[in-house]
Amino acid sequence: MNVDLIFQIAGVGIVVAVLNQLLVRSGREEQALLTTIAGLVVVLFILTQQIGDLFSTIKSIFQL
Amino acid sequence: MLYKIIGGGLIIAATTVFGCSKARALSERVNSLLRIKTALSVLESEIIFSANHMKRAFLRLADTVGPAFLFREAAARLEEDGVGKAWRDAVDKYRKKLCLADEDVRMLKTLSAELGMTDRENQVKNLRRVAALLDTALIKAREEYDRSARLYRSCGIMAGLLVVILLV
Repeated sequence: MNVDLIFQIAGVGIVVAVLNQLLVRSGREEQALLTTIAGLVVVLFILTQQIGDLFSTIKSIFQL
Repeated sequence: MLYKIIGGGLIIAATTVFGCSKARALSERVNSLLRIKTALSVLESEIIFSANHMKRAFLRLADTVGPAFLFREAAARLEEDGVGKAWRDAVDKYRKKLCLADEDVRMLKTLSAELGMTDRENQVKNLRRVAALLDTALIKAREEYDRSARLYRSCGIMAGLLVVILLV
């Protein structure tokens, strides 16, 4: 398991959380929501390989 | 490893500078509107009490209160273009340096219709009208600055951090 990946995702999560709070406090709720969704999409892109492996493992375990 | 740190630092510095320059533009807009408003009230006094030629009045404003470059430019263009066009061209030339928004520029340009052309009373009314509009614009600019300056600075730093985290 690649530990760097965990740190990268944690870093992205912290930055997105801070940006979300800053935008909400400035009264820009829609932009805060967009930032959160963008952060989620970025993390999903980072995890593409791992998600693919997860589905392959599930398929092989349950012999689907 | 060292190059990564230097590169990361440069990226964060670049985005921070970008954020800070956006915040500074907001503060510069507030300052510019305040200085122009003060200059217009001095110009009103010049018209009422001194009856000076417009070029001399502009040069006095450049030396005392207003954004000097704006009034000097208007004074320089006065003889060839006339007061109205000189003022409009000067505002267009320095709108970026003064960080003025489109509505501020439109408001200042309305001054050119009667400046130096009608009688004293109408010019004073025109100046007071624009000064009142500038008051409203100044309040909005201050609110915008209070709401957004800290946000732009912080977003600059956060964006840099995000890019570095994704690249590393």
